[in-house]
Amino acid sequence: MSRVEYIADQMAVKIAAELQLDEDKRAVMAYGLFAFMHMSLCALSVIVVGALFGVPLEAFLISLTASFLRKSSGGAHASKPWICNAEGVIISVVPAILLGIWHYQLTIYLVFITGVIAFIWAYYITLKLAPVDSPGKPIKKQATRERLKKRSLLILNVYVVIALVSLLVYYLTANRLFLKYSFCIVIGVIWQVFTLTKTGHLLLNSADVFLNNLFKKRGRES
Amino acid sequence: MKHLNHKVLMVIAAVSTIFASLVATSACFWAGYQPEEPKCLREE
Repeated sequence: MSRVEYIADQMAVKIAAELQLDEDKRAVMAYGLFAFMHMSLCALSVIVVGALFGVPLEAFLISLTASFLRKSSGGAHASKPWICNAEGVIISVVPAILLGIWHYQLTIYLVFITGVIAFIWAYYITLKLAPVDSPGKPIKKQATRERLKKRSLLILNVYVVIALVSLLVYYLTANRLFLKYSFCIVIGVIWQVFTLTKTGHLLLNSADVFLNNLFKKRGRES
Repeated sequence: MKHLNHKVLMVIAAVSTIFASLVATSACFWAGYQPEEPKCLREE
């Protein structure tokens, strides 16, 4: 059990005792508290590390795009909360930094063509694979699978509209920020859809093993 | 004071339960880590 899970669990035990709640309600409360704390911590880490590199908004936008789609489409998971946090920070902040360095080379055509290719691929993979469940939360009912697939496609539709509106605003105002925001949405979608694929699972599992071993070794040396 | 404390705990309990239900109707957590879902929230 991670430290955050432990804190959520202990809080739930104390609140359940005080309010005289049963075991099921305590378990649900612990789950909800952990969900809230873990997701807040992930968002905060992305914003803080992004701010250190001067790209908090871009990093958060990439993270938010991926997270919101992930809610319905599922995808590969980390074995520990801190690995998830580290991966989230790397995946959101590194592209945001690169975008910050190279954004003067971005053109409306480049963003549009990348977006079209990315979204065609995203629709294809989502239709084929979503929702991808995890051992901790298996999805057994066919009706639930269909509902989540439909919701994933709806979220992709919303992203297409937002990205296009952002491009249109750039076209009308020549404010390059909108070009960047549009590209951030495309990056978030590419990453999230990639985690649905077998290659995505392989890459995330390898990163998981690497980070686990790295910190185990450091722990032994210190 | 104790009455207020009780109310605060009830709000935390309610908000955390709503959050758990939100996650239960999703494919997974909104992040890359998914703990085991409580039995009473699992679909059979």
